[in-house]
Amino acid sequence: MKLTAALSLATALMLGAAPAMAQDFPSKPITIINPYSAGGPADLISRTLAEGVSNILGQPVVVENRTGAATAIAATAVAKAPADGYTLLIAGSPTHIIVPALQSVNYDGIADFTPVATVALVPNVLAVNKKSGITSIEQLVAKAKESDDAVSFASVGNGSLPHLSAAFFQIETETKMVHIPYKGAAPAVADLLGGNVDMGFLNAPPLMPHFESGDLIALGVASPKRSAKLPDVPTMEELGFNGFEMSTWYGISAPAGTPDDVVAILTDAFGKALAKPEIAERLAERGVEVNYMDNQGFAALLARDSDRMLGLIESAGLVKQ
Amino acid sequence: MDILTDIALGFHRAISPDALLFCFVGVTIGTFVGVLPGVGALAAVSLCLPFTYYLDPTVALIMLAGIFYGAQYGGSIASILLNVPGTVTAAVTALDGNPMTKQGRAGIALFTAMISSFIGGSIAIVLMMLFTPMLAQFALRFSSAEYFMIMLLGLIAASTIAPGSRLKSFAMMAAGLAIGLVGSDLNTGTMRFTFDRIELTDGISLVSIAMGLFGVAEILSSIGGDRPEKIDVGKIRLKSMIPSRAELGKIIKPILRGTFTGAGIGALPGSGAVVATFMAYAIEKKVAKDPSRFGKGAIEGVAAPEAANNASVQTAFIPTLSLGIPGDALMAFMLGAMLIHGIVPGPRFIIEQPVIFWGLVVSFWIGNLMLLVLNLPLIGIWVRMLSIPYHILYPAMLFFIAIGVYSVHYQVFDIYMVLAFGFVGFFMNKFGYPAAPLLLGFILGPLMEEHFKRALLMSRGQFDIFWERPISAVFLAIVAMLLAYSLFSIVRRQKNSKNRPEA
Repeated sequence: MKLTAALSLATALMLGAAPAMAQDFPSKPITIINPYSAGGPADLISRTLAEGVSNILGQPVVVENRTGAATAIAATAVAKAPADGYTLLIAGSPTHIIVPALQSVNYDGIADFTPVATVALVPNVLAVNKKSGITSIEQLVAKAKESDDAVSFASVGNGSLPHLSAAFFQIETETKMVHIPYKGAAPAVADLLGGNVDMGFLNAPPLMPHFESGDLIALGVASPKRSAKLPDVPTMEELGFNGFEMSTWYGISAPAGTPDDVVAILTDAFGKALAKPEIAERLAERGVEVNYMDNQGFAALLARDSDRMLGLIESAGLVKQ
Repeated sequence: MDILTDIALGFHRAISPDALLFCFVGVTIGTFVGVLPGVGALAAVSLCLPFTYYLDPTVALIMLAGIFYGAQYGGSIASILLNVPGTVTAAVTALDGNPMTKQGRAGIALFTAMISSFIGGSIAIVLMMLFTPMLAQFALRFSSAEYFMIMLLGLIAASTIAPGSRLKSFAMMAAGLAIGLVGSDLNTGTMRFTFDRIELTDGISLVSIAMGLFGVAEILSSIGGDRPEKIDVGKIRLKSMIPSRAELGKIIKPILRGTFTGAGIGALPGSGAVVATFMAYAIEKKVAKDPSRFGKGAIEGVAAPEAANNASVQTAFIPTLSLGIPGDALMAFMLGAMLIHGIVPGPRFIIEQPVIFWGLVVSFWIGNLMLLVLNLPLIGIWVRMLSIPYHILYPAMLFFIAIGVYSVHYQVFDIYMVLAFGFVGFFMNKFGYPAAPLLLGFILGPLMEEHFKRALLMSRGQFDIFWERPISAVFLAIVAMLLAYSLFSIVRRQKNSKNRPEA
């Protein structure tokens, strides 16, 4: 025993010494900080995974909702937390790319974090009201070409994914549309239903009952693959929009400098949890799709997303505050 | 007769032992968190959600909903007795409820609050049963132009909400509107008055302002020795808690008016219980023969807002259940909880899941009845809370306020804010500046700005939208009439005073 301990101590010293040894990880509860409020998709994802990962790692995993400042409060907390793998963030393009690009924050969205894994995806769907008479992308584009303010689109805030998706759409179709921002998805869906706003690239789950009742029409899915819940709706890619990958993805990030072996344990645990059918099923009930990529896949996604989002932010004319 | 079968179905579900038990658990937790100042239903519901994973979905929802409306009952208790509102809506109840306590009529005030809550909630539930699908479609016709007009109407109607100097009231309302500007602008993302504090980017927390101006300020004032007369609790008997026949007669109409105001505004997904409660109070004051009694212990000032806030929390379920569109953070949470349990509210929910819908609605009524039965006998015990020495009671209250404001965003910064607003409120009290108009301005200001801008975006900048949309036009006409009437009365008064020196 003593010998092994001495050996591993020596190895650790030789390797430049991580303070916590990976064999011991995790030796205390892990906290997942969720930048979104209780009850939303991120809450479901974090709580479902907390339970799954806790069973695998044998330590409690707690979820803490730290809302505010468009995710910057949660992201700052994790960026400044000790890099030991015990504090994790529910990450997305807002935390890592959009918010640091638009607000003055005390962290760097890429350099201050270590990607652990991507976990889930909520498809964003281009939706229009049935009463608008628009039933295809071509009709929508034709209407938008009539004049610069013929079509309005809903978003959930300045610089939000629905806003940037519409910016993308406007570039590709060479149109100009009126941006109507809302505080969250619920009022946006209400106005879309009431016919007060023409279209929106919005999260699919709150729209589903209205697609089923026929009041809203889904024109395209902003994901690389069709959604299992909307098998008949083509992807934007199929409709001729190359690289239109604008769905809401969720990942898990740790503070920068988290030891590689700790990250490996976490990546593996999230992968195993997501492979369980009961977890996928619970997420699917709410229209959340499992989207697992390991830490390298996640890092590649971040790099790709960062280029695209920054370009869109610029073309939408958004400036840092 | 379909509806009777449906209600019978709902009753069958709601009176099964598990539903009754968890309904009781829910309303009891709700009352308790309602009594604690600042600790809101949202915190309690979030804590209880994981526990409900192990329950039948209908039962889980019955319990979570019970916490939500139970908190409205509890919220009035500390508000009436100590002038420390348990929930933001209860700040309105404090305006007349606390003066009643100071006159030794605490029992009557509490009784009135309970019975008004019960009647308001019950009528709203009946409206829900009869009109949910219709109301939901009607609510969709409300968009930003209509919301802006309702809020403008609310602001004008409520400008006289506080007793005393009208000038001071207006000043406070303007201050509230200004404080409401803090935070990032929805349309451009520009940071306004945030002084580079990340905690201020979403604006100042409503709970911090309400608990600061009402709760902490009251506690600070009591340190100055200006504390209410100690009540001899030995004298309190059941008889002294039941309002006289004359008083009962006086509150029936206010309860009904409050109920309809609350039910109507609550059913709209964009306004919420706080606006409804303020509106109900303002309407009571407008229709009263002698408005000067308000703020000095008018029983109508307790009855109407209590009926309104309970009616509105019940009808708030209408857009959530039948459209899947939640009106506020709490309803959004309830919607999330339903989705977690595999229930998808929406246009087809009532038809496809009748047992859940009707079971839930009937359970609301059972829950309200439980709250009444639970709370009436407790009034005596609550009143006895006044006999707790203040040097024990008030530090405990401060403790709960701090926990309550912290539990909203988990930000220590909000605790500093509540203390700061406590001092502001203390000086406002001292110099006779009323806090209610400030709170109202703070709530309505940002909403009005948001809806005004959005309405103009929809109309591409044309102001016609406010009179071309029929519902908006009706509200605009009422606003115009109210303004014309006040202008007319000012001119008449000036004419009179001009004539006098000549005469």
